[in-house]
Amino acid sequence: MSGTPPLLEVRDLTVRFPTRSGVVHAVDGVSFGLQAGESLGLVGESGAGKSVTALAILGLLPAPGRVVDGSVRLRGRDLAGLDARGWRGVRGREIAMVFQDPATSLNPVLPVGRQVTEVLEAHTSLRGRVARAEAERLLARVGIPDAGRRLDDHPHQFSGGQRQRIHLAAALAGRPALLIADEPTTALDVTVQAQIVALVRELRREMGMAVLWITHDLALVAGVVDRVAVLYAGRIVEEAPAAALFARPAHPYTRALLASMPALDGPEPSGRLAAIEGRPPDLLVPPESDPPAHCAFAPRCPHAADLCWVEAPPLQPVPGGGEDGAHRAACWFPRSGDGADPEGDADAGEDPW
Amino acid sequence: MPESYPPAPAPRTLRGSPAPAPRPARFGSRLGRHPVALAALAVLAGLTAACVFGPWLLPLPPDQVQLDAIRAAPSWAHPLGTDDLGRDILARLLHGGRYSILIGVLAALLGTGIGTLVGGVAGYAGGRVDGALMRATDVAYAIPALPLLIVLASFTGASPASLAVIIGLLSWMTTARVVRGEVLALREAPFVLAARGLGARPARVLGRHILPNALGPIVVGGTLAVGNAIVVESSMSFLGLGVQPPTPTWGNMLMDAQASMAAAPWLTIFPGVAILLVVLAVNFLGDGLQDALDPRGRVR
Amino acid sequence: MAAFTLRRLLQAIPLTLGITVVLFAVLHLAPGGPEGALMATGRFPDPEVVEAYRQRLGVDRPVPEQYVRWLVAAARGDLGVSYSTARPVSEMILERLPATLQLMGSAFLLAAVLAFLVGTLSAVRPFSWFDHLGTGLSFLGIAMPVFWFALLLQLLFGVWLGWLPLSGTGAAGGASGWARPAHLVLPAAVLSFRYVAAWSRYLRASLMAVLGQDYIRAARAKGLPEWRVVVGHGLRNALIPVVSVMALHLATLFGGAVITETVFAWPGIGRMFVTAMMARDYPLLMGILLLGSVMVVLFNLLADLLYGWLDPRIRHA
Repeated sequence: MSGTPPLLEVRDLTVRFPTRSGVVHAVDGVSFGLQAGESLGLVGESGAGKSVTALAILGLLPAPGRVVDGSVRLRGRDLAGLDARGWRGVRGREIAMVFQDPATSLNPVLPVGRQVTEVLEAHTSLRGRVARAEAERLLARVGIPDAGRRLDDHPHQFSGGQRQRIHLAAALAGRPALLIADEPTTALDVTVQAQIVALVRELRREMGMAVLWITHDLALVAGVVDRVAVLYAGRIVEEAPAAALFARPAHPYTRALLASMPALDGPEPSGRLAAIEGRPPDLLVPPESDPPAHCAFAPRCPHAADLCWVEAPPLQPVPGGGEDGAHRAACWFPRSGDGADPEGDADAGEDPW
Repeated sequence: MPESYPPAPAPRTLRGSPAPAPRPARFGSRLGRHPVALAALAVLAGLTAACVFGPWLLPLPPDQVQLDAIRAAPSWAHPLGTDDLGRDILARLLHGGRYSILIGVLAALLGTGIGTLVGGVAGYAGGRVDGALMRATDVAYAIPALPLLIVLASFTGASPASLAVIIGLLSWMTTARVVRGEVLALREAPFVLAARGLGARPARVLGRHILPNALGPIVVGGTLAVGNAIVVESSMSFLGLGVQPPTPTWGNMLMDAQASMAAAPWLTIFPGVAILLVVLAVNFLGDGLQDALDPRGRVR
Repeated sequence: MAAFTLRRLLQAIPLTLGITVVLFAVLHLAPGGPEGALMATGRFPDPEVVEAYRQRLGVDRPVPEQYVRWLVAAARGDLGVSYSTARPVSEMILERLPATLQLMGSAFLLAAVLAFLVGTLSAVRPFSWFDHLGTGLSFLGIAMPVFWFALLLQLLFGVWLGWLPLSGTGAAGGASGWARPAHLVLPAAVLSFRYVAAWSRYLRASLMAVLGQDYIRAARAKGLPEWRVVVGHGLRNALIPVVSVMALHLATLFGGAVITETVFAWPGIGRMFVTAMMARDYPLLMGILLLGSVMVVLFNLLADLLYGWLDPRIRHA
């Protein structure tokens, strides 16, 4: 490792929601890092802890959520100790975030131009007409036609895709070093999804910012991110360079996720897509009891063995997963039944490993 | 715009939601979870009983003038003191409470009845009937109620009975709007459609099938209307334009109290406390009923 | 916004006509009709006045025609002649209007400012001691009869502490006109209390719901100062439902003014209403009721426009 700390370093992040019926272990010891300009996909089913992780990074956990352990460091600085003023220097300026549903993430009663200029006023020296001009430039850049004349329009006068573009423009106004995109395309039509994904990719290159993509849709991030971390039941179960993960998934859950998605650029799937049997575990731990010690995926895992029911596996380098241990998985038996995976074979030729 | 936009959030305190007719047992246990509402009910019951039976038990009639005890401070003989003519305040309070509470209850019953009828017909008939009735409601809302009441009361003479009727005649608008909303929501409910399909006449569908299911908001509105009517009556009597002396009411007792406010502050304090107590209790009871009668309400 | 304004203006016309029909009917409900009401004053003013009034009413004409004549006259500002003073009603009302507007205006402003402050602070720190205090006082404010609250404040600040004048405006000779600030404090406080109580609770509930919305989280993620998140993003949205409640309450503000002006000997229209009632001066009473109703319609119109300004979705609908 070099001397400079990574842009973002999340270590052992643990978030719990104490409720009347018990404690929800929403995020359970999640660690990952992000270099400047790098992009990481955080993938998992709903309830896996993706959004909670993102909100914890920005210090915006909804009540009664609390970070009970671990740290979030930005360029080596622990964010936990920040006061309100310190957070204002981080949010929107260092780390910006776009949310899932643009229909509810834009303020319905404020003109869209205002929702961009307020970020400029908070984080730059631009004011008044200059700020307005910059807002117009940003809105034009994200693809709002005739942006100058639409600054005073309200969100309900735009389509869903346009609203997400506006939301993105507001997020980028502070020229952040890191953009957290929390399922920004889930609420949109499929064709619009692809446009937004392409837009973020362009903007990332242009602005040299790092991107943390949060999604339940592996296919969506396949071509966009450098690395992927798969989250299951509040823990990272596999982390790898994107190509390696798609080529040789090690964790049974990742494999199941891949099997349940249609081929990326191939023809329409002819057969049925494999659904993952069973349901994600309940993360609520009732009072007076302990969280289960076994692997959280064991109840749904076709390869679960006795050991899996005794102890949860740590996240460790996968055998043959590259020398630097960049491919890691939390499974006692990684790549079990590997040969049976047609997906892995098909892509094997492109595998750099 | 193709996308639907979420409506602005409404305050949670707005009343009114479709409720299946509550079963007594469940309703009782729901109300039982509201200690404040139960306490309010107890206060109301106690005050009402005191007003009904108290005057018979007290040694002094409310209009007994005692020239040797003018403006006497509270004591054992006169727990709440006496007024400018040496009349016992406790006796007058309890006696006046009979009228205040009776007027409040009668006016609330009448107003709620009219409001239910207007709202029920408007919501069920729809179309022009609905439009006309709701415009009439708007008109009734726009005319300042208290001054209009005062003018109407001057036509009839301000006896307790006529006051109750006039107040009732002018306090139906809120109930009408709430009931109309309920009926609109229930009109297309499957059991209502079934009843209509079986050929039930509109009046029967409305009276037997729809309104019983809108009972919750009607009862809550009626409860709150009691407190409102008591305040209106006391305001009119206070201005000297409601129930006339010598019949004591809490309002005209306070009118009398103004003259000797400095010398005998208890004259000002106790009748007001009585009004405040009743209205507070009615409001708390209404809140409790609202929670108890609304199946979608907070469950603790 | 222009089309929206015009639409609302047009909607106010049938409402105003409906009000005039009701008020005209009330006048005719009086025992013996308007003429009987004149006799009921028991004073039998000089025959000239009686005859002038009969002419004006056109009592021998059919009732619909009487209504139209009355309406046309009222629209011209001719509200008839007072039974008790034989002066034009409109003149008497205009004389007293400034005092009433001063009282109602101050009470409304005071209520709005206090309700916004209390409601916002309660919503930002729900279930804090401040919030609980606000809830408790609100229950009191909503249940407390206006006139009794007035008497209590007079007793406390006027009689016992002697800090504030008991009544009147302090203007020379008790005439109408601008009141001295010290004289305004108690009446305005009395008249505004119940509205502070009600509106602060509505705003609290509304703002708490708004503060849970996604766009508030998005605004925080932008790194805006918290006060800008609450005021700039939260309050404006939260005000939308509160404004319609405020408009609904305005009709009761006039009734409150009648009581408040009477208790504090405030030389406004409300107090004049009570004296007119004692004298059975129906033309004056009707004039005051008509003015009060028209004020309510106007306030509601203003509230509608404010509503449209606050919520762009309404005005584009």
